[in-house]
Amino acid sequence: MEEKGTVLRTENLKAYYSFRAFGIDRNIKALDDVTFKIYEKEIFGIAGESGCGKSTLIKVLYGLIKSPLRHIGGDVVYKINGEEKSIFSFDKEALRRLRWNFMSYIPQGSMNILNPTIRIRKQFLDIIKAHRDVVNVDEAEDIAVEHIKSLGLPLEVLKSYPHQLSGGMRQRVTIALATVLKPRVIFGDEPTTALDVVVQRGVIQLLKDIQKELNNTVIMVTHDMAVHAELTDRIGIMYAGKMVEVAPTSEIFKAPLHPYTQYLINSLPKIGDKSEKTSVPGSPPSLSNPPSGCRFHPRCPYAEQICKEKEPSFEELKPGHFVACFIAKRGVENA
Amino acid sequence: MPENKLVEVKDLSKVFIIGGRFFGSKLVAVNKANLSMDAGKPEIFTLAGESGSGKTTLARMILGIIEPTSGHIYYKGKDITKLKNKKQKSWFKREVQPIFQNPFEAFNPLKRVETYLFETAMNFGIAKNKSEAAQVVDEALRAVGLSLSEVYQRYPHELSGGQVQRTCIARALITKPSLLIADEPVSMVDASLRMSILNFFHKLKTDYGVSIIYITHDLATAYYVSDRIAIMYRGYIVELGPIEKVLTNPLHPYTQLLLESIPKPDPDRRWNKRIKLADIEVKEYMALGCKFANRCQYAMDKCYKEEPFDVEVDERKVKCFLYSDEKASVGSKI
Repeated sequence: MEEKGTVLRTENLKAYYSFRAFGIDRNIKALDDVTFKIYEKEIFGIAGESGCGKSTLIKVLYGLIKSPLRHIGGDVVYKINGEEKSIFSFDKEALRRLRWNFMSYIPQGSMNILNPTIRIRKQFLDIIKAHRDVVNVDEAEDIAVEHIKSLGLPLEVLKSYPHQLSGGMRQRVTIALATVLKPRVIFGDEPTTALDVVVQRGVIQLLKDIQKELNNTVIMVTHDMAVHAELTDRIGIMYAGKMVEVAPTSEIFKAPLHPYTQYLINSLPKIGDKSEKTSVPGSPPSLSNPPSGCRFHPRCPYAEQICKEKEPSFEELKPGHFVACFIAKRGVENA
Repeated sequence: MPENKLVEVKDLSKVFIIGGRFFGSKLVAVNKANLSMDAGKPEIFTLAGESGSGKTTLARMILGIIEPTSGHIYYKGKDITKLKNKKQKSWFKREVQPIFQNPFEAFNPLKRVETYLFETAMNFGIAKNKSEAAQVVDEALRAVGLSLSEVYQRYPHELSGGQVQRTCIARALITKPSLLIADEPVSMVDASLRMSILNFFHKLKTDYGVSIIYITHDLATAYYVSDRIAIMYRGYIVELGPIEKVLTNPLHPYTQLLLESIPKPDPDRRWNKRIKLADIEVKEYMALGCKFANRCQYAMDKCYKEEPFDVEVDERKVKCFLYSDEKASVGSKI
């Protein structure tokens, strides 16, 4: 197997939402010490329950840091044309140039982000003109038409207003918009959530096609593990603002090491299997005052004294399989 | 009407008119639906289908929120569209209770959650005074694994999503209903808490004898929890039968496509076939004959012209011409 190049890596990334009310500072530690790598030409999935920091991570990676979200420490390093650059070294204008050309973003609830008062064609032209040095309308339109055709969408969508399209079609148009300038990195924040299964399948099919054609990196956030199984090459599992496990998709599903991942995988209902499934006991922790030590210990069935006191480090326990858990580490070492 | 049925829906249709009264087009949201649930045999019945298939409209008609265009709904032998006085209506509302999709939207964020619980207890005459109401409410909350002291004086945002949804269910239980209609009750709940709510539905059925109509687009959870299922497509119930049969050996081509399209939580079994999505969905509603014909790989000439009828095959009803010939052979066996 060829050595994979890294397109993006984070180092001890920290980002908090800070609020100040009545002289009291409150920090929501949405991302705390997150370190991982994303390789070129892969589909990387990020999973976890709501409020675990998945969307925040995507925002920080995309350089969308707006108050109250603040970057506290750590770094996000991209490899752009062979050069390593920190996302925090760019000014606003440089970031704008980077967006859509190098990386693009399919936001959450993207069915509703299209401007309802202008036709899809105009929205395509606006984006192309804003991010490429194209002055000519015809030239911009050619790019849009060619792209719509290559994705197999009907050309009539260009003439339509968003409300004339079904939810699934709008979702596919949003994906088409995000990929029109052939970016190297695409972020998708729950792009298939709220779609019907058959439409969801079509959208996943489209995302896969685009990745294959552009030969680029897709970073996909969703809480639906079944979508991850269908689409991704590697998965990162997040819990309470931390990355707790990163491994190839098949390993996450067959031999998860972190107790939280084990719960996630075992609680999935399957057709043809009526055995009783259980949820993770307890409820998600508050990010403003997370538990001491390992943040999962209050809900973990294997928790020991050390889990309450010390924070487990995020280590590579098996080749390509990173876990932050004392128990899992001991298990692998003894095996 | 036979008294031994809990609910019986007969040839129920609902037509919405889109646009103006004279120039608007008709949209048949529910088309001649037939289903029934037996009394004295609590079950969880799933209504499944994609958005716009008419599952919520059908459920709302059974709840009495929407009036049907034609057809009848009988609840314990009484036609619910013809309930006359307040007493009868109040009886029906006590017997059939809804659970809504988003628990946070079901409660006013500015009101304490127990207000709703007490109001339900008082308004339906289940409790005569505050202390009696407190007892009834506490009992209902204990059934869902909470207690009055846990939710007392709390606002919805102070409870977790799972707790609010359970409070919603507790509210529905106060009137001691025989039928709960739950519209996508777990789709807004986190994956990690989803199973606890479904396990609770199962407990309601077995321990409290409550029948549940569970509306969902998620067939995996439907399989996990329910006994029978009806698959809806563009207003029609296309397949109805025991969950085990329908989901492990689907007969209608739409059910087959739907089942195949569920992403499986197993990276070794990915899809290898490609599918075609409907481009313009309104056209499908307007189409003559079988609404699925355009996307169906087995479509015959007949499918584009005539409306298919229910055929009984293998313990279930299927609305498809593919099985209409078998009817005779099934009949001859009996």
